[in-house]
Amino acid sequence: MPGAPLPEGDTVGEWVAFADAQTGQLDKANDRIIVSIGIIERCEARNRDAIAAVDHAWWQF
Amino acid sequence: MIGKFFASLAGRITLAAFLVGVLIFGISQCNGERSAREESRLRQNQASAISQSARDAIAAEGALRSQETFSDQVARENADEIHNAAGAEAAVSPGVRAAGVDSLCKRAAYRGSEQCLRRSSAPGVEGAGAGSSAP
Repeated sequence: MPGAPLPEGDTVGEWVAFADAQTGQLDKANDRIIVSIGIIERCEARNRDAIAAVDHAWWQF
Repeated sequence: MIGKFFASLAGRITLAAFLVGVLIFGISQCNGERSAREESRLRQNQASAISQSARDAIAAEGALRSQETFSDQVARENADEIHNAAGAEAAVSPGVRAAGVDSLCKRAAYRGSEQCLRRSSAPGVEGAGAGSSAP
């Protein structure tokens, strides 16, 4: 996730807006991590369930 | 003749061995069929799980894109409010601004940015854009 564009000017407004935009980029980066981990965790859980649905005790025919 | 053979100890042992052999063969056949059935079922279950996971990933990716679009919209609205606020046009002191940009140029996110490259090549500016890598 790229950082917010650096402020070109020298006003307080530009720097405060930069800080806000940077926080927005941080939010997006965090969301991407959360979503990615969620996708992987759900994928692994489905695979575990698929295996568990077939597994049974050795004595069961 | 056969009756006498099976009545003898050797006959009984032979019969028992035969029955045990039949039993083992039956169980192994049954287990083989079960393994094949299980293998097939496992493949079906896993194929179904992969298909569900693919749909899940596409949906999650779509939701994420929408969220990012919304976040960009919020950033634009916030920028407008900030620029319109009283005092927004006040000047930041040149020293603080230069220190701020130099600090940002030490970050991996900005090291290759045009502004940082300009600063690092400008006379009298040393170290800007040459910071250590972010972890």
